[in-house]
Amino acid sequence: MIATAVLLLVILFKLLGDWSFPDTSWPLEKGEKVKMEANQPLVQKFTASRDGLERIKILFANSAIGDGGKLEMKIYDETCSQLIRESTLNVTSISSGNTTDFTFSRIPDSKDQAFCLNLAYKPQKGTKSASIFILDNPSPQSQYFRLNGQERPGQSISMRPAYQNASGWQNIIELDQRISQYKPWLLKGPYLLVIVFLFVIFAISAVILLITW
Amino acid sequence: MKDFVKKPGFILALILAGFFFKGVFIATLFPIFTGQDEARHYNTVQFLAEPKEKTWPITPRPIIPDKATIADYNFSEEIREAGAAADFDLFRHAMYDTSAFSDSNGYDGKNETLIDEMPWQRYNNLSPPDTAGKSLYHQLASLIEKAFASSSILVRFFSVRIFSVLLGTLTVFLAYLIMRTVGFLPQESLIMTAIVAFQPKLSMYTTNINYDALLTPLFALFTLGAVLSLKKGLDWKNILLMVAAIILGFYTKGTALVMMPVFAGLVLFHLYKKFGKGKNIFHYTIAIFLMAVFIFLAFQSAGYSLTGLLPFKGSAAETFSALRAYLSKSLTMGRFALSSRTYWGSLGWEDNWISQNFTDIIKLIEAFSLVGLVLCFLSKNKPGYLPEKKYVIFLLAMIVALQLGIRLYDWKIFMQTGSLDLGTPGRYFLPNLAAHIILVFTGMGMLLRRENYFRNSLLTGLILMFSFSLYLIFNVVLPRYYF
Repeated sequence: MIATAVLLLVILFKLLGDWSFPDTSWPLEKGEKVKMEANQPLVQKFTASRDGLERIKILFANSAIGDGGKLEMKIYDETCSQLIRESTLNVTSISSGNTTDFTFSRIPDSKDQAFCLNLAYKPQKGTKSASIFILDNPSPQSQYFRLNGQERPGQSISMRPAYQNASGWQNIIELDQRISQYKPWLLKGPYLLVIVFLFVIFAISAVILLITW
Repeated sequence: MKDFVKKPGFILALILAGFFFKGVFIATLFPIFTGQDEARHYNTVQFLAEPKEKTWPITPRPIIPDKATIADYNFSEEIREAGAAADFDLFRHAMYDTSAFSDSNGYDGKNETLIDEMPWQRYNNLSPPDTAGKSLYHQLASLIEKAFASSSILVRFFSVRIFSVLLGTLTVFLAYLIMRTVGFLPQESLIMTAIVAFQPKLSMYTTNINYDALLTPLFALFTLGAVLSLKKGLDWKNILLMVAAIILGFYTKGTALVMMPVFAGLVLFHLYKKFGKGKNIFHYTIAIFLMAVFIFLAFQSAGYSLTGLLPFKGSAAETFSALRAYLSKSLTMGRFALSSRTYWGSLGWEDNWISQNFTDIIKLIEAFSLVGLVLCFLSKNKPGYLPEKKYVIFLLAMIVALQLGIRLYDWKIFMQTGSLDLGTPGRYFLPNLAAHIILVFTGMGMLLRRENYFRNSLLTGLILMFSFSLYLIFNVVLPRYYF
């Protein structure tokens, strides 16, 4: 029985994974569609609004990248000289229907720091192209943007930085707050936590008892 | 204590409680109006809760064909304004966007105080109102709307969602009774009931404000009445269950019509059995005639027209030509795959190995089960732990009837509009979920031949369904709306 309980809790724990909370003050819109030139990294400077920068969500346009193509993101310091984090995706195609996530290890003291995001499309022989959306009304946290070797003042890519709290419990509290918004009092805050707890306890108990019958 | 926790009643209570709280959690996860046509169904609830005498000004506004925002729908002012205030227009059409969360207000959204102040008119002031009929579900939900009239739309809307969750919980309970009635042992019945309870789409769909939330338990009620009649013969109790399910179904959604031919077939089967044994069928004939009249009257009074539901028009040649056009468009691999993906849950929301392969794995399991079901019909020696053939035939009839019924109506809409406007999304087939699970595992049981192997296959199915359910909740739905 204990082994089964441990197995189910491991499944649950694995599913919970790394949570990070996107800054929704950044607009995510399908703006002007622009092709990214291969091996010509775009540069997007921005200021982080919180500690714990852990992920960048980017809205690409439909891109048939083909086998072997890579998207490589590097996060540098403000001067674009010192590499802080990097994340590489091997993808064959990207849909404009959803964002693409670049995840890296948490940057603890990111609040109010300026970062230089460097995104490159690296095709293999025979691969096709990648395209990205450009916005004219970027977040005030967006500072500088250059695409295909050309500076584009007052524009940015369609992106959203996401932040992770220092502890799992703080993540749970923040998630509880987000889910609680626009919900009635009986489904908010501590009530919501009790509902989730009862769901997990009842469901796991039933499964364990059935397995060990 | 050890004996108590192994009692079927206790484990069933745990499954039902787990399903209910899972449903309430999922009802909370989905932001306001994000269920299938949910704003329209809720507007129907509000419309039915309005005073009969319309004393407020009503403005004529034709239905806008291409609606860009919630303001373009002929809903009550409260639904249009509260939806816009809660960022519905942001996340409804863009899979990548979420509500603009408030970091400073903590547990309250940016415009939540405004919504709680209830500044908007909740009566429909645009004509014609955009509603979805006046089914029994909407009428029951309108009682909740009236009962919480002094509370904000958030309390009223989510209370109706919780009502749907209760109906889903009733479905799971009826699924257990069906499994026990067809002859599974308590343990096997409970495992299959838990599989039904963890089927993700059932949980997600029965958290929506939608008349299907009532149709699903009514199908289960009909199935229970039918299998009881197959077990004990027709009696007033099981006839009452079936007739009640059919009549309440008529008042809920037209799909309930498919229960009628199955019911007729079942009655004929019972008649044949009685008649074959040389007994007097006079009383049965009278009873069936009265039932038929009763059902027909209920059908008419619920506002249905048999000729209106059937897709036949013009000459036979025209009908066949239209059928050929419909079949060539609807019977495609892409359409089948879409039905399958939307039957099991929100599989199209993510593009990963699970979303690409899950339904293929299910199809493989179902193919094995089908072989087992064929064996069930050919073999004279059925294992004692599996249902008898008569139950298998009946459950297959339910599946076929619902498939034909939905496709017939889809064909009718196709003939009217020239396109697959209705389609065959997987959720339409959920009312037969219990029958589906029973048939899949009966087929598996026929192949496995030994009870402990059969039980292990059930437990494997349970763990997979449980894990899949958690995956969709925590890794798909939750990130979609909150990360």
